[in-house]
Amino acid sequence: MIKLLGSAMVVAASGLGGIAVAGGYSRRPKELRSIRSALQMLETEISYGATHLQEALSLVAERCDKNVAYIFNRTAAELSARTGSTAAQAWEKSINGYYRESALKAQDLSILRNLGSSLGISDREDQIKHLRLAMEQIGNESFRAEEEAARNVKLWSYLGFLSGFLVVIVLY
Amino acid sequence: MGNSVDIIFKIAGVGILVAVLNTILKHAGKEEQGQLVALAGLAIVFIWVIQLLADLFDQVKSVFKLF
Amino acid sequence: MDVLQIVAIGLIATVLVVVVKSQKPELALLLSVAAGVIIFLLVLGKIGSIMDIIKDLAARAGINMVYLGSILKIIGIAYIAEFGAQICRDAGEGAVATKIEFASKILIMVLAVPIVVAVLQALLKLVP
Repeated sequence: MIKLLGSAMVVAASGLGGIAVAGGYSRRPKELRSIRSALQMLETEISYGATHLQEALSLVAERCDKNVAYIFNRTAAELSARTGSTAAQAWEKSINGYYRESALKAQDLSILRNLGSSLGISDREDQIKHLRLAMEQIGNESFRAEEEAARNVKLWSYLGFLSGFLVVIVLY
Repeated sequence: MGNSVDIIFKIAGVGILVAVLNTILKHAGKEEQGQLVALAGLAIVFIWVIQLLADLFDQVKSVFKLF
Repeated sequence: MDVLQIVAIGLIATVLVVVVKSQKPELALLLSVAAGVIIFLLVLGKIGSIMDIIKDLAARAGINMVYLGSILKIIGIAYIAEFGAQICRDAGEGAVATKIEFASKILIMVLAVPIVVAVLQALLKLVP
């Protein structure tokens, strides 16, 4: 009886681990798409709204997908706290905080980081160009991420359960 | 009899699961990992069978008094 | 009943061997070895009792124990060699199987030589 329970736990643990990895693969394209549309909103604000960076960020944070709103909210908060950090530093802190809990990969983080280094420094057209560049790169990454997800999600879910079964049979 | 059939089922189970895992990993492009899993399964089953054979030869030695 | 158990184990093992053989032939081979060993182990007890009875009868008939021991050893060698050779043949290695059988024949000859010598000596004593 105890043996049966133990085996069930091993299979469940290993299967859920596999599903967790698969979940990471399936979340990344969604998050990249949310980031891209949020950047689009930011570009619209900057080019038509003529607002300050801080206000633009807060407006975008209110309207965009709630998952990525954290980045914009935190950047706006850092800027309004007037701690003397530049927009680039505030942006850097926000994306690092977001990256820890997200399914994004290192290359996505570096795209966002490059965008941050141009925030609040140059004039409106330059900002829009940088935003468009970042959106283009994120679009490419999200396309590749979707392909990866299609391949890997089922793979890892199966792998998890099957390795659990294998361990149970070997150790039974 | 109960625990002798156990070994047969264990070996067959490991065989089938290793074959399935090998196919899945090859399909996902990770062929080296697939081969590794297959080798590991083979090694484990090999150890079990060698233990069985050692048991058999011990008993045969005692019954037939060969050595 | 014992024979039913053994037949059941054999059938289950055969089916599983066929299933595994299409995917991983090497594991199928190991599986058939394991099944053979298990079936033999199940009957080994009975073989032991039979041999004890034979030894008893031989002792009462006054046969020299040495000869009976040699005969039993020869039977053992023959069985184990056949077991190994058949497994090799199942795996397609006919050459290895033949070598195993050849080696077993040599070993049996070695054990049988004293008996043959004793028979020849007895015969020579008969012929004046």
